[in-house]
Amino acid sequence: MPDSLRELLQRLAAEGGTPPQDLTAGAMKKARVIGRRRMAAGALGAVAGLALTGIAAAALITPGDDSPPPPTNRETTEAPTNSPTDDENEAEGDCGRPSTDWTGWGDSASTMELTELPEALYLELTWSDGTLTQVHRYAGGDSEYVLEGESMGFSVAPDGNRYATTPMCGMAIATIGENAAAITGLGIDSLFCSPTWAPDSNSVAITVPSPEYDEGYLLDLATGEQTDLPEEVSCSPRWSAGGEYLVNGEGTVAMRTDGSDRTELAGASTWTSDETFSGLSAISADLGRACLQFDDAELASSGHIDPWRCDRLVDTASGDAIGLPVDTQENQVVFLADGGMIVSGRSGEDITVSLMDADMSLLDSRTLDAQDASTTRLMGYYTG
Amino acid sequence: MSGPIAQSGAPPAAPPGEFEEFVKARSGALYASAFLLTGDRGLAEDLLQDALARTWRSWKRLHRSENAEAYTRRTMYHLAVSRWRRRKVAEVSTEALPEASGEDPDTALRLAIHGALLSLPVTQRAAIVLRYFEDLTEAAAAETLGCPVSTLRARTQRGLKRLRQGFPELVLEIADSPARLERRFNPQNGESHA
Repeated sequence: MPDSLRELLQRLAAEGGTPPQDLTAGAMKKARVIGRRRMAAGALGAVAGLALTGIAAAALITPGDDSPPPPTNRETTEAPTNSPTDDENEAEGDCGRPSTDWTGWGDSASTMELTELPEALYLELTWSDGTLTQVHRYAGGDSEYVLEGESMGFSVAPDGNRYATTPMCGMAIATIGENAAAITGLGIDSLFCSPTWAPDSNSVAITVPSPEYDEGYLLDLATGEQTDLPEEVSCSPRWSAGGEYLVNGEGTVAMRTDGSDRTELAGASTWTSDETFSGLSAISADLGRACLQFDDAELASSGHIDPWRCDRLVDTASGDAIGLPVDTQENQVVFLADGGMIVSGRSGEDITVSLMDADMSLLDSRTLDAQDASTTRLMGYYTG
Repeated sequence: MSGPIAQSGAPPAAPPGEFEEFVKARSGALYASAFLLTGDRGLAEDLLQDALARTWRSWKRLHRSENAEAYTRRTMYHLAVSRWRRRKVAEVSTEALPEASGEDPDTALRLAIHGALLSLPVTQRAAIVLRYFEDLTEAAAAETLGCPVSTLRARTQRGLKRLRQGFPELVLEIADSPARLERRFNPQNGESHA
């Protein structure tokens, strides 16, 4: 008699026998089929984007998902072609880039010096009793959700308008605003490398899960320009608060988007040697302060963490911890270009959002209803 | 502007030796999980092949990061859940399972567990396989499934409860509460996984 569920399952699994010998060839064949199918889906998505209103909603609804669409009735005013156009015999464009003919959506023009919190804040809310994620717009003492999807979530730009969906691939970059636009069928790898937005909301770093070239590239949504990222910062880099530097996920090296001015962060060994270190969450404009996330060792090493919490605020030169002057939990820090920061943290059922200057003196604070969400993450704050 | 239009991830014509070695080395363990998830050799092969296809498409990066197995496993579980959600693959009927003889308590229990496992919604089934077969922590299992730990925990508990409710003969063999069930299945350490 087996004496554990584990042993029972092992015996059951053994009844499955051994895997077939031709798995490699079969996988390669399927890889090609998947590529062709997604190519077709990407092109169809672009066409559908032209035809349908509420493209952002359409792009987000999972087939078979009964979740309601976002409440806003958005018009698609732009749906630039994004169909991968490789040689048709090499149509494995599993996850393509936008067409280089695309000229962008223009400047977000959203960054500003903050002396008080903006009227509207965008937060991602995730509930523990399901896989649902919503992005809520908090304004005027009320909130409404503007995006909804499954737990893989969204990556919303600081302007609270542009966003990237982050399912496995073949999804979209779109806007939330009244006149929504979308680029669909893009390759976005969120299993390991979530898209990350520049502070000015004009550029987004994207990783395409392709085996053939350095996958990371910057998409400039203002102009449509694409720029390959240096390999060291090609996977979910963090932007310095001024948008001048990209820092790799380990928080060890910073460089400009073209790879110049490469700078190693002197204190990095103090956190990379910690087996519970999950990754860099945020870094200041001068690269002097950084927020780090820590989880249990197994999770930290899984490669599936997209760090966002500020479990430890550190001086990057020494690695020494700096006290964060808040008494909330699960704190998240958004560094600002002027040296200030926004801290978002939980206090019971509330979310407290605090604006601090460069000396970490409190300038403004607001309490928001967490709506029973288990996880809340500030995303849009340059929304004035 | 750099980069050609829509640089695609067209895999090279022949697999690198490393990918073949990876498949050879890890396909046994991955296939076992796939079999527990699907309950059918053909479906398990199909599921694993689909996951490996995606791994192959991302092989260069995965190989560099040495996370190919984690990626493949996570993709496999996501595909299993996705297929179940979309109802594209019919749920495996427990009617297709071998009849329990009733003569051998070990075989009877195993078949009953197998039937019970396959009768669960795939999200609960995946949680139990990850926790009790793959032996992952709650956090790692939750990460694999892309859900919060509390959701993983709830799925596991509901799955164990349904095992007990759906197959009364198991209740006689085991216990009538998740905690006791767990102790029954882990008599040595009494560790609570649920």
